[in-house]
Amino acid sequence: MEEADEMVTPGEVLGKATDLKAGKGAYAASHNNTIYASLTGFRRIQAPPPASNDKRPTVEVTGHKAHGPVPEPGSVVIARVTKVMARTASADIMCVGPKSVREKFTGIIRQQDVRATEIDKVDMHLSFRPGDIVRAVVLSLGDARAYYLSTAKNELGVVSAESSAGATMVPISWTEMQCPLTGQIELRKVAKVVN
Amino acid sequence: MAAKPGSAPVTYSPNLGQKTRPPIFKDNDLDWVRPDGRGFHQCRPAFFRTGAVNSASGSAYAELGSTKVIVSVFGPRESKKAMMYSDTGRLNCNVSYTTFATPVRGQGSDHKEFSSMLLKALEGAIMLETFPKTTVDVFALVLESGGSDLPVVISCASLALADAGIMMYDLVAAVSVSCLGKNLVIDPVLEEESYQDGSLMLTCMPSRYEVTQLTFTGEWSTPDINEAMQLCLDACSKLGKVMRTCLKEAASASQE
Amino acid sequence: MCFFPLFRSKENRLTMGLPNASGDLSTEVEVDAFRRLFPLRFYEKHLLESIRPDARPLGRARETTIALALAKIGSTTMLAAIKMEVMTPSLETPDEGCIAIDFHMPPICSPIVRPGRPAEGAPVVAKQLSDTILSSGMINLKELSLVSGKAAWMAYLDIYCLDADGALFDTALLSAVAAFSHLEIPVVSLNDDGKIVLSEEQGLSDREPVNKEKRKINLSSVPFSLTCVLHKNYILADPTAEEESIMDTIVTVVLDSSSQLVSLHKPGGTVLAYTSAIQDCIALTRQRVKELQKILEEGISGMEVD
Repeated sequence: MEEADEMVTPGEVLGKATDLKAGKGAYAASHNNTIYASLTGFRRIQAPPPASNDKRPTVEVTGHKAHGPVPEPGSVVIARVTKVMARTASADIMCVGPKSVREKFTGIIRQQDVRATEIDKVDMHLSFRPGDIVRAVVLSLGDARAYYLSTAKNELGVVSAESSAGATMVPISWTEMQCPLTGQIELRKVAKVVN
Repeated sequence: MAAKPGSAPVTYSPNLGQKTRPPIFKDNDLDWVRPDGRGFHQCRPAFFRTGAVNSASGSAYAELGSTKVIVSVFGPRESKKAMMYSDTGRLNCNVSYTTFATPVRGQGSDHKEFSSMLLKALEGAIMLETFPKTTVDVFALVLESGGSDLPVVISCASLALADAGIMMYDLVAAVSVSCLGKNLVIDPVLEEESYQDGSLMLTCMPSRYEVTQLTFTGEWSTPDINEAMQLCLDACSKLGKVMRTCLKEAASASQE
Repeated sequence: MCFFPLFRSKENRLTMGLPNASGDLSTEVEVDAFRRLFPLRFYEKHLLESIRPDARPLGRARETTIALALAKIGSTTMLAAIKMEVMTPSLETPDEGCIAIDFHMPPICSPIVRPGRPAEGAPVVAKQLSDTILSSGMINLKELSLVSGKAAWMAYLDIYCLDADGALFDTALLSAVAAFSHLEIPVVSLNDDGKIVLSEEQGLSDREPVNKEKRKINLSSVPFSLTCVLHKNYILADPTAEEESIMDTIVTVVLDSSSQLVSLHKPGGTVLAYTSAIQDCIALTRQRVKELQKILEEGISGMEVD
């Protein structure tokens, strides 16, 4: 931090595009080569990375609240499965990254996106049950109804599920979870535990 | 709803007075003063406060004279299922009145066009591409209608959007001018609006000095339009400063 | 009137340490995300310690304020207004006026209300308010009479929810009571057309007004309420919206100023309340009535000083 942080609001001029680059919470207007703030917060100047050809420092606006998280392609999300059908499973996205979303966004996991191998042999009903909590990655913005989600990686899939007896099950393999009360084994697309 | 069952009785307000009062302004009456004693080119003091509604993502309360409005912002959140897919974000606006906002009960529902005018005034100032596919809802409630309602709603809504952390090119400030005979009065109260010959409303991004909406109705001469626009632009830039101060105060308070 | 003192910034919520979650999730997500994913587990962890996530003991209501007819319990905010109009009384009750009560949840108040659609739950609150206010005997409808058989007041009471965070009925009732305590009825006269008009505005000041002594409404036996949610053996007074959504058994008790029971409302729910639980709710309400009476009195006297 090279200078005292100054509070700015959307539309306030942060500098000239010839001297600075626009970072987070800032934008450059092409018609007058001016950089403006787009959020309320503190004006901060970041020195350019040493290796960079562009010697302009970056100006950003940080520190005040930004809007709640919105899923984007590549985001890791936590979702609750709401409906399982022959070719797709629907899930409500509850968290994007580590942040919870205020309401919910609808996602779907299609049969071909459940796991990486033998994708044509996936049985949706043996992968997810309504109520399961899954970790998934957003493939694309999807269609008007839902985001397309994928669990086709080791660390993705069911992270928490209740057995039919109502207990939280323990993962015992890539495809199985066990009820601690009854010992019954249920089939799931289980996520590898990350430590 | 009524205390007694059966059909609701017909009621009337004992406050019939307004119609019998003489018009506030007569042509060539140079000594005329505004109902609240303001100069013709003087706005009412503006009071803004963000964070009025905890349940919303962002909100603001505005009070200019007896005009009082609250605006809540929700989202970015999932667009309604019936909407077509869109790569950019959407803005959805709604303006409503309380039943007691107007002198005659329930009259505020006449302003159906305000919702779409609010949308058009704000849309250009919002970076819609920063929340793809989702919707930001802007809902306004006029608690008391005291004149210049729509411009107050627009300025208040832009503050609520800033409070919600929605990325914007600039704030949006709005001011209107009434033409009463030969005089132009800025930020008219309800009584002045009811006698106006013409009305002009300008909404702009005060820092970028760009107009997002300009409407005028009634009889206007070209020089009057130019004068009224300049009056509005100057007033918007002052209003913008008040709005920025409000945002900064709220932001510093939340740091503590 | 200006409402800004009541729009203070968001309360600082005190949160306890992260409850031990199952599996690996607790380390991965933030506390608010855990709360979102496993709300009941999150709450039960707190209830075991006899404290709520906003640091309240179970039986305590949130900070409550009244300014004119704006009532605030926690962040739940209600604005009430009364418009007096004139009507011809019905043949059966020629000496009585009427009160029409409406409750509104505009889209500004909650993420779950959308424009053009009535808010879920709003009609229930409207009915409860109407029943409570009219049956409590708070207002004698005879006081609303102007000219027997000819003219009487119709009081339109409209209550707007500006911020919905639980205990909607309690806050709405409080704002309604505050609105009636501040109500000032203008002096009116009968004009030559047989219509009731404002004496001053019509230049009828010399004429005998029809309501010289009836400028204020006497409030007898004012109703006050407390809503509780029941969960297992726990009773949580004055629930937030989150608490109401997680724990579905709600009991609303209305008592009047002399602690007489006006109404008790338990619209189902998964917890079957034993009489002891109901008695506990009534006891909590009794304490709450004393608090509310004080707050209301302060609100009224505070306004008179201004």
